[in-house]
Amino acid sequence: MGERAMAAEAWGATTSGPARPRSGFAARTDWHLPALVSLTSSRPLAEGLHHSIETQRTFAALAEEWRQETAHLSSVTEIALHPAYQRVIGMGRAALPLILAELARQPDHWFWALRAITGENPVTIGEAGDVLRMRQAWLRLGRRRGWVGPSWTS
Amino acid sequence: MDLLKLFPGLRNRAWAVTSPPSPLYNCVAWAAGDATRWWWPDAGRDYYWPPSAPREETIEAFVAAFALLGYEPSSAADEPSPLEFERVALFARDSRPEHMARELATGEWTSKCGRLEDITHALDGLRGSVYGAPVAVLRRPRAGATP
Repeated sequence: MGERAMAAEAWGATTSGPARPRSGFAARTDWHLPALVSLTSSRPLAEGLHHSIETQRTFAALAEEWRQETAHLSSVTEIALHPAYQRVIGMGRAALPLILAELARQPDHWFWALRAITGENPVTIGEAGDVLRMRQAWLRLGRRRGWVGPSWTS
Repeated sequence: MDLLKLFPGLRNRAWAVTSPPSPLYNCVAWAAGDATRWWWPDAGRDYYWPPSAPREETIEAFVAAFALLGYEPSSAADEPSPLEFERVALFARDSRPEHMARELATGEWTSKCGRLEDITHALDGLRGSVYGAPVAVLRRPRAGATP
């Protein structure tokens, strides 16, 4: 299964109705998800970083609320200014391993939060908007900085 | 997410889901024919925007970005043959760009709804409190159309 299809599956079908084959623009299928990581896993989030179950549950609830309430939006400004997303940013560096684990699990628009929390941006101009490459850049940086476990990144 | 709840204007009109959900591209990219990137003129420059277009969340900046793709303004009353012209529509709410849709050669419109699915729909089907209303319609000759 290609990463596009896996992303679609991770997002789930949201409406009923017959899907028709896409025509016109070529779909990108040459990407691959790393091993799935569950936020409820008992595995440590990252070496040297400990998160209470409560913190993980809070993050998971905020992430789900944000995803549900912004799924229809194109404006990344509106997406990032959602109160739940802002609360994740407010969690500060404690949220980094959780965000990166979520990003490893499925591509999504966590880049604003990552920049806000870390003050860094590993995404090049040529990668801007390419969500898969942006994700790779952040997961690479997270691995270098020790924010994620090495087995989480592709 | 129930698209009919978000967009009640879809009720009693023909519409269909035409893709799975995806966080990889948005309505602006889809209108521009790009299903590999998320387009937005964000100040943080995280996202793609045509380099010579103003990086502003304004109607004028979106019109300028699509002018770079060969689109020019078309009046709402002007309804050229969809076989001859490709049209895109910009939806805005309180003058803030919210959504774009593209007309197919069949006369249907196609939209990518944020990170949700692509759908085909009537242009007015997405009019409402979420995306606002079409505030600009742009057109260019459809590739392969006979002048």
